[in-house]
Amino acid sequence: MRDQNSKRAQLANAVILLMSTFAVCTLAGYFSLVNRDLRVPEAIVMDEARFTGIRALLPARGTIGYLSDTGGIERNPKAYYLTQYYLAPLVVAADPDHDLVIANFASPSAIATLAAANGLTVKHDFPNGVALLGRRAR
Amino acid sequence: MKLLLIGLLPAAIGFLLTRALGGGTRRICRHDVFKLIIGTGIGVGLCSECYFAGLVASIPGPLPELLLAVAVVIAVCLNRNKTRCRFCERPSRAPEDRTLTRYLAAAFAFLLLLDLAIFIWVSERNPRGGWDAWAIWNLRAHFLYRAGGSAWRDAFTEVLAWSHPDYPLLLPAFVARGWRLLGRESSMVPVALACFFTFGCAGLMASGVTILRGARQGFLAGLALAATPFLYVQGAMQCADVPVAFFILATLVSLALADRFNSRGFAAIAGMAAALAGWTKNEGLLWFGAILLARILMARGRSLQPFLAGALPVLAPVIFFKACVATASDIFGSAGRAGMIARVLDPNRYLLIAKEAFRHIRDFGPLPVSAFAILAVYLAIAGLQRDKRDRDILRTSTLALSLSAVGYCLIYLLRPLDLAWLLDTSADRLLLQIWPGIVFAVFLASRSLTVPDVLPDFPFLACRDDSQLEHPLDGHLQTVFCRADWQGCPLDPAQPSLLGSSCFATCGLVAARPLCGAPSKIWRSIGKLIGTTASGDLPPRRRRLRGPLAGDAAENRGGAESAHRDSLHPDTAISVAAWDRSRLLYQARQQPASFPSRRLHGARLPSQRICVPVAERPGHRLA
Repeated sequence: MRDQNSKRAQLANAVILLMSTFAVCTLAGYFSLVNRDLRVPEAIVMDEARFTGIRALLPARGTIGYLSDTGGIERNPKAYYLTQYYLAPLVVAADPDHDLVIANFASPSAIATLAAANGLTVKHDFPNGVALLGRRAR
Repeated sequence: MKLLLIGLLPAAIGFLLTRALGGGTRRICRHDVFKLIIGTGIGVGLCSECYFAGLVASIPGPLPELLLAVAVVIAVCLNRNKTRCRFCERPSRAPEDRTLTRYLAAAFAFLLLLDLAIFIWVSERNPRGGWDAWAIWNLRAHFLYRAGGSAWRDAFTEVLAWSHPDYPLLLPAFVARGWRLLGRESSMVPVALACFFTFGCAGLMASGVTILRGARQGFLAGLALAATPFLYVQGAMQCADVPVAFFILATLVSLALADRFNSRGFAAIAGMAAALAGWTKNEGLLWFGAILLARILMARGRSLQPFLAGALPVLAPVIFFKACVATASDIFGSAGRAGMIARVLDPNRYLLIAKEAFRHIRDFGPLPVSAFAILAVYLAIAGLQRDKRDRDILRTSTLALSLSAVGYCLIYLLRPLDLAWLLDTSADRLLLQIWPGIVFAVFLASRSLTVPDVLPDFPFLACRDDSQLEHPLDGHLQTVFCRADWQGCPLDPAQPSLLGSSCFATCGLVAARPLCGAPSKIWRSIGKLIGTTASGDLPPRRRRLRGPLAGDAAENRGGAESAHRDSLHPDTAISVAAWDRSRLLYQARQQPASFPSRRLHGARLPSQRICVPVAERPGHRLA
């Protein structure tokens, strides 16, 4: 029985050593995995500096709408989520049915067309694909 | 000053609170590492709640947490007469092979360094964290930090339902608190917070299991966590599942210590940790319910009062948040209730959950072999220990972790989202929440390496210079050695294997048998590789000895001769390491004079080595 316990314990040591080996190999693999994932190109370049200008035009509190040419929240949720992230504590609703709407476009030339299609006018157009839209008077 | 307030104040609050509740010496002792880690986690949680209370009550600045700090200092002052560390008072189970322990410590440190490199590398590329971090936790921190007056409540609106406004606020509130103290938004605050919880898991595991089961088992358990790359990548992504895992582990370790040392203070700390898991994420609330139910069922409500006393003050802000601030959850809200019956009755959902659960368990780690499988194999090989003192916590933790896993499955079943997508994106992280708890339970339940945990009820050992033993040792004593005239023994008591006496020759051989008898080829190779075996200090001649205790007379005579050469006079005293704790305490009570001092010629004896003069023992008979 004692010998059996001893064998068990020794094998347990071996298992742990194997586990450490596995871990080292896996960590090495993770370097390449994470590296590969991070290099996926994105449709919209999202950086906080794009929203610096428009933030000064927006109210400190309230809810504004959102309009994009990249498919909105269904097709490109990351762009919408990041817009909300940068503009908090302002609440950015996922639809354009608000008096003030923020446009987050991949192609700046399409802003006016899409705004008009949604009954909106361009109040302020920044040259980086971001614009402040307002609802037309009814 | 700002950095002190951001990082050190929570650590100081938690550490002092842990010492006030769990006990501690006037000076720093080695167990304070454990108390610092668990205390910092609790301090972070309490400071987060203080910040939330300040927002609700419109109290500017860090006033609530300064009040908390004053309360903790008062608690420490009230406990100033109870300045003792319970962990230091009790002898640990067995002296361990230092060489092997050093190798394990080195492997643990090496893996942690690799983990740290990964963590820094991922954090540099994702300073705002992963998807969940910026879309949920840091977004909410922006609301709490940037909004003035009551505008922070705007974060909890149905318009932002995609950001889970029903999730509790430990991480956002602590990050916002850090930014507020710093005076600006900095990604260093969430990164540092994530770093603490990520590496705190490994530290808490290693230090906690070391207290309960010895350093070697502690390093092994820490190694198992350090060998989980997923933990460190998710930690660097500032994922909230890592803090939940930390608090689940803290709950189990604290409860184990409360059971082992009959400490109501650690039961209260366990309650705090469980409640803080609930302040971190909704799954933490599930954990709180699971551990409470498991404790009632499996441990007959043992230490339940201090557990609840610790938990309820921490739970109060959670209850307020859920009742007055948060939106309805997506499961039990109106959208979740619609079609719930159909989802429950759909057999395909059960099949998909089972299939994906199996796949994620198999791929968890991710290691070439499933981490769960490695743990299972380890447990099967090492075997279960039979220590009644840990029975309650083992049953409790097994049931609580199982209930949590069942709860996760129910969440998947009920949640009104695409189930395949949900499982694919979250099952790993849910497994990660309970993984440290599983590792802890396994290493608490398994036998320690090389030394059987439970010493047999063998009679007292008595030896003379002819090396004849009065009673068989049954081979379970790890290191028994006799010394001549222990008052004047010139040898280093910290190195028993170097003691040369006739009795040691015999006893050392007996002790060596379970350690190195009949090693397998694999074990021999490992021994050669690392330059030692479990009993590597023994000379080769003794290492070869096999057979029954009194069997090899030639070896005994050889030992006796070497003892004479060492000019020692045996049978004056026997130093017994790893003696059964209750027996030692019994002896100490019966014969306090037998335990005059733990000091020997200036060399401090490790606390687990007790010198017991043979002549004063009741019932002994020298051969």
